Amino acid sequence: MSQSLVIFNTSGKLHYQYNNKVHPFNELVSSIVNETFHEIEPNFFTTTSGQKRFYCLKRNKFYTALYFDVITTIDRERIKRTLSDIWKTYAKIAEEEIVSDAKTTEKLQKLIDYQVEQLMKFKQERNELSKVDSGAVSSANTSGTTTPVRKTGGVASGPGTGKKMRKWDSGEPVEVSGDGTALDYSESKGESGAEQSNNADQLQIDQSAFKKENDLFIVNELNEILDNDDDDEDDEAGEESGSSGGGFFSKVSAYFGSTVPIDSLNKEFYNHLISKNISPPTATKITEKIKSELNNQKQVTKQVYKQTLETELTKILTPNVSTDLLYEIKGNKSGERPFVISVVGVNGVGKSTNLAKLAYWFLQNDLNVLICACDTFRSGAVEQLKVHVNNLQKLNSTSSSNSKIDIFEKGYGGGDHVVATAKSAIQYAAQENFDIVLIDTAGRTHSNAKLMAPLKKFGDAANPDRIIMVGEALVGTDSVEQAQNFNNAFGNRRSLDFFIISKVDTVGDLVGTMINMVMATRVPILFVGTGQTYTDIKRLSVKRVVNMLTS
Amino acid sequence: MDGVQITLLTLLLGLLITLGVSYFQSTTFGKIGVKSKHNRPTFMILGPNNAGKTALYFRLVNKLDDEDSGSGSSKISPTVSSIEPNFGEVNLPFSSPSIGKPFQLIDFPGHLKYSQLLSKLMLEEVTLRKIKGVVYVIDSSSELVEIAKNLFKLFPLTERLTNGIDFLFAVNKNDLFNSRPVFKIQEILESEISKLIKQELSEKSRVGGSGIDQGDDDDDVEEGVASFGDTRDFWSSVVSSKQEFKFEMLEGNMDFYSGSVLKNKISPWENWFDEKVVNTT
Repeated sequence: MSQSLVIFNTSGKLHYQYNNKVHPFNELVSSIVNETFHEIEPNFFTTTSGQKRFYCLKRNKFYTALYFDVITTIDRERIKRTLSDIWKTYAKIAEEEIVSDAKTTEKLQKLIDYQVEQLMKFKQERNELSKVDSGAVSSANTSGTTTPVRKTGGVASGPGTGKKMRKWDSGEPVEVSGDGTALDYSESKGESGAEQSNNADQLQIDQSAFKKENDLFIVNELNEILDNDDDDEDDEAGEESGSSGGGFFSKVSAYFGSTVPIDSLNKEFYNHLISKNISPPTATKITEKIKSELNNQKQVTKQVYKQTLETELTKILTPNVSTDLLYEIKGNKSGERPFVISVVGVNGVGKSTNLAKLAYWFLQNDLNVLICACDTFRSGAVEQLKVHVNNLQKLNSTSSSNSKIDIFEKGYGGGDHVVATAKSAIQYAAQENFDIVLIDTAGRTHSNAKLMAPLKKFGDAANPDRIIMVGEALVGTDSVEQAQNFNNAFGNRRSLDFFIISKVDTVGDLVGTMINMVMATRVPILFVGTGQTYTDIKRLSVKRVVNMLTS
Repeated sequence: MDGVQITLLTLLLGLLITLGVSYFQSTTFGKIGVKSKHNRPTFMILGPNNAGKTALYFRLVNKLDDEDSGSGSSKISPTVSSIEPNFGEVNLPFSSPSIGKPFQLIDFPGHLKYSQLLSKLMLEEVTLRKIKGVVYVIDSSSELVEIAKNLFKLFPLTERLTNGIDFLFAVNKNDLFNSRPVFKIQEILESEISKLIKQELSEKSRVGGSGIDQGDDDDDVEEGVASFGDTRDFWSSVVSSKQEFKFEMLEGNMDFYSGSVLKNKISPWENWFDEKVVNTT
């Protein structure tokens, strides 16, 4: 078992570390950057990576984060409380002593270590039933005061009831020495304060008096800090109102580049984003993000706001994985199995058309392509692909390329027919030296579970190297749900790899669908379809799309 | 003053105000006249995640404070991957701070997600001319394929200037037992980049212009800066056919020095900084 806790800021500088296990937090950071984390509450989020579960609390530009090695039973509320207590402790001390000499560092270390110990302790008590080897927890402790906690942690694994009684007994004197009003603290604090001191006594049962005093000192100091500190989240809500005066003149001065209340800007750009076909919930998310990015300043210039928005949109659209398909396919060329790409999507978005465009692109790069007709449902679907393949074969024979293209089809049929076709196509491709298998699937409505369920089976059986979803730029708000449902359709272990956004040429500036789909799933856009011919497929120009959205 | 004069004056005034407003608008919101606060002489620290960029950055930025406090063995605080770029200042040259001039030092995170922001920062905010050098930090024990890909995309940007931008490849972590020697790393990078170039040049080369276009054009190129349409044109101009890529082919100077931030062995890198500063001023 291992765990660690750090406080760091956006520049990557560590302000506090619990032990020397800092490296795993890089995974947390990359999840923050890619926004793959799961947000429990605003500014409190969790993510799982490898064998580790991370919890992270964000305040201003600082992140307080911890991880456990195993799935723990601690409830999130408790973790959140500890994290926010720790952050308050840190902020308080950092604020008090500007000069960070050895003494303050030590004090900080002690206080925070203590809180972490408490949390770990709590976890152990929970785990006692399953009898986890509690004595062995993180021996990498530095502070002297915490060592006894460890030991008693091991001892305390006896029958629960006896302990509880004794805890109460020795609990009395502590409350008295701790100012006598430990229970009168603000609700959440009072609870945790009492709990902490109670826990502390429990540990002290067989420790020397000196140690006990030392711990009590820490508890008292902690209570002081946490009590004095009013919850800084609350006053955020209490802002606004009052700064909106001056109607006409504020507008004129805003025009000349002076500051404007951020809320009016938020509203203005929110409407602007929605007019670009971005769905309202997504637009809210974006404006909220920008607000927190600007540190909750109340007044900003329009220009600054716009720049932040541009940066934000750029970040959203930039892929977090390599989109260099050709490179990967060529790397795969020596392998036994061909590179399998499958295309999914709602009815009529252009799956087959974009599949043919992809095929043309691969052909020109000297790759042998096999198109597999797995739309065995809609009448004429197979014939449609045949037409494409015939066209491509003609085009290919006129150019000097020595690649080949063919179609693999087994007619129409329901049930397992799709899976069987896909499997035999892959087999056939491996025998006949095809580099790529492009699998066309039947279009399906994302909200119909009956139609979506076979996708998982198909995904498991054909196991495509890349699953690409085609979405059209024409859809509005529904695109969010489409993307999410398709992304979840392949089960826990598999998700979409890329989007192709089709029909971009028909919407002009209203390219908000891209943002909707990417924000909802964090799946990057591979290509955009911009016309009717085989060459009308383009790499996404993030810069241009961002300009379209903000202009 | 008769009515005609007043009318004329009013008209004139109205015209002037309209002109003034439109001028003001164009300067405030247009690109002209607005200079980013980052537009000054700059050294950039780039590289993949986990190579040691941020550690190096803090090392360089905090250098002076450490020397003031007298303890030469200043401890390096560990870092995690940064989420935002760091902007700082250093007085260069290191060897004689008294005649030093402030330079901007930018530590840019290596996340793939930020690649677009990086090129925007380099082209539009700092601008290429102000970049005095790029420190590319490499973990000497890590995989190099991704780094090669990254450089493959980076060079077409930096080589837009006639003399290119000078690179220092700071081969970090040479204290690890599995670190590779500098020449080996250079060799691997060259061969990987060669592979990428070959692939890029073979791609869509037989059909003029069709295939999948980049779709990205940079209309706002600085004056006197050669503009390459895209990566492909650039690389075909650098490497003639059937040739292996070598770092010497680039216009900018490419220097490889090994060192270790953690073990405080960064003097070759500091010398490189000093050299660049002295030579360019």
